[in-house]
Amino acid sequence: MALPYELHLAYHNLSRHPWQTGAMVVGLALAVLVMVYIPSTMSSFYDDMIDRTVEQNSAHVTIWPREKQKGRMAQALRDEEGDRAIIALTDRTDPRARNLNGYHALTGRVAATPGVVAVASFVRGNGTVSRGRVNLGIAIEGVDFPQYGRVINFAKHFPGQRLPQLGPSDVAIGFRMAEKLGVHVGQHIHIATPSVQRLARVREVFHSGYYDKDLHHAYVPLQTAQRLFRVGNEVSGLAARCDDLQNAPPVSGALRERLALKVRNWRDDNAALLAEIATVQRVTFFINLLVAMVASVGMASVFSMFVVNRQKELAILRAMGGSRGSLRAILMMEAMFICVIGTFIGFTVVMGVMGYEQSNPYQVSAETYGIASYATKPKLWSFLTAGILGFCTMAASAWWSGRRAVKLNPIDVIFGR
Amino acid sequence: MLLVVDNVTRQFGGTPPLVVLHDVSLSVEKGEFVALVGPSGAGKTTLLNVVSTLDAPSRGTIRIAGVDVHRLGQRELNRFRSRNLGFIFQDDLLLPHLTALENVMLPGRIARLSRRRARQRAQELLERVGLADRMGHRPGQLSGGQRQRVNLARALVNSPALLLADEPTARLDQATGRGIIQLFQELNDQLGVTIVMVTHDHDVAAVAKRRVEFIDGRIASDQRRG
Repeated sequence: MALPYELHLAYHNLSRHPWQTGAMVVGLALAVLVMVYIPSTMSSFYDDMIDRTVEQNSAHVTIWPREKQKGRMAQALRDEEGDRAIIALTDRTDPRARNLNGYHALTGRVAATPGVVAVASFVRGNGTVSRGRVNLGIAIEGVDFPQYGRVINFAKHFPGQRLPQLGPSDVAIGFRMAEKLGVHVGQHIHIATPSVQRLARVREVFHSGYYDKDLHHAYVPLQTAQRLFRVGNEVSGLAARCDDLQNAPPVSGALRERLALKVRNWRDDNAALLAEIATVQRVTFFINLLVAMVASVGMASVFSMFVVNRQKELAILRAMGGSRGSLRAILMMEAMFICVIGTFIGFTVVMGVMGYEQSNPYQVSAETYGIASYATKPKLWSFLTAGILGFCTMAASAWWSGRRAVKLNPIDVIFGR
Repeated sequence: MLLVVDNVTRQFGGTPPLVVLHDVSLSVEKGEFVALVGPSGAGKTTLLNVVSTLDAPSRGTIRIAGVDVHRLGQRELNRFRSRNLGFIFQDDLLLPHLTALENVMLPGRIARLSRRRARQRAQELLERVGLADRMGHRPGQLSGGQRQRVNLARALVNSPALLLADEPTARLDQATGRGIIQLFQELNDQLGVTIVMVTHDHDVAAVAKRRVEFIDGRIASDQRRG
């Protein structure tokens, strides 16, 4: 099939102006690169945060004993004491009242709630670990590993991505804690709570990806934790997994109504972080908008100059009977050439950058960001958005530049009238 | 009549308006070779532009092959121009990035001739104007006379009813110019191409079968040779 002469001319026009063509291609490639890279980076960071925070380190929904209202306690005390004394507003709740009673029955009720796919109990409290002269304040968490592993995908943190099998005297600690204490798997450390002090064998060392957790968190079996904190057969709370992460808020609302307990979901627990991310995403959107606008104006200007410099040629074509539509088609084809090549180069470079990041992740300050390394993952929607924006920019540039050029009288241009 | 110019006036804006053509009437038969002569500013090129449909008259009508061309819509006018009119300007208006062959093919392609047909026709014409060995050269690689021959071949590629030339030898030396005019004469004699040519050169005008002299936007004389 013969190519239309418009395509032939468009190709010739671009190839005989390599500098102008190259500048437009590079400009578009850079704009595409930025429009793909920045949103992908932010989206990857968000996904990574969700994965690390929610999927691997905390439950979709947690159920806690209802906190006693301090005001209520003061009121109750006033009633008991009459009008003679006002008791200060201090938390005098019995530590045992901070735990869930009869959690086995409660687990069944939670599991029966629509949207809940797994439930596990846990005991949490603060304590210290020591070895030699090194002491650390830590959070101790007692869980039934197989059960808890169905709620939180924390098997990823352990060697071989397998859940550990801990005996009553075993402990799993973060790798930073192990480094700090100078301890290896199989060696012993001292664990102390306000009530109990005992020796525990390090059975596993985990990497959670969170700086603080890797330094200040230890897992023990559920029964061990119950003994360490002397809570008998009670637990601190229940953790539940929903069928969908985004389903957690309605499920937590339903549980709150049914159980009359304190129920929180991952959005409640990470409200500040989510708000910060939303702010950053808004800023990113405006940066991208600015990039798109600057790129569009730049492209339109360069393309306009490209067309103005060729007015005489366009006039010759008009004089030979070339229609306005044909001239517009030539300009549009030139724009599309630039669009396809620029977008392809932009995509290729950004894929290269992301591929490099995947194999050489950015090292970031773990103390500041909670994570030690980071890499951007390609996001299909950002490629689509950049591709569509690139296409629209070039199409608009061709239309805008060609609008006046095709209306000029050939005689005016040829004779400089 | 192939061309009928009927009471055409062309004026340009300004105060007072500049009237370049005053009620000009002219008829050209098929196969004629007409030279429009006269001093600069007499209105010859303006008449040619109006006849070529690239410019519109302020008053009057122009009929080519019975069609009132300035009543055509833009699309019909483009089609009419590409199929019925050929132009040669003083400057060689060739596209610098295309070869001689591609330049000559271009009007054919614009008129939607197939690439093969346009190529065949362009090759024939370039051979006829003596540029068989220059088909692959770009305008920058050709002399002024060769470029003007390419222009001539390009003007003829769609076998136009009317060939319009605006001082085609003005930028050429005498010998080269003579060669070009000889080509025009051959085209007219052998192929019966109707030619309307603007020229200052009385020697060139002497070749034409008819000589129309313009003075101050009016036809001062209209003489046929022989």
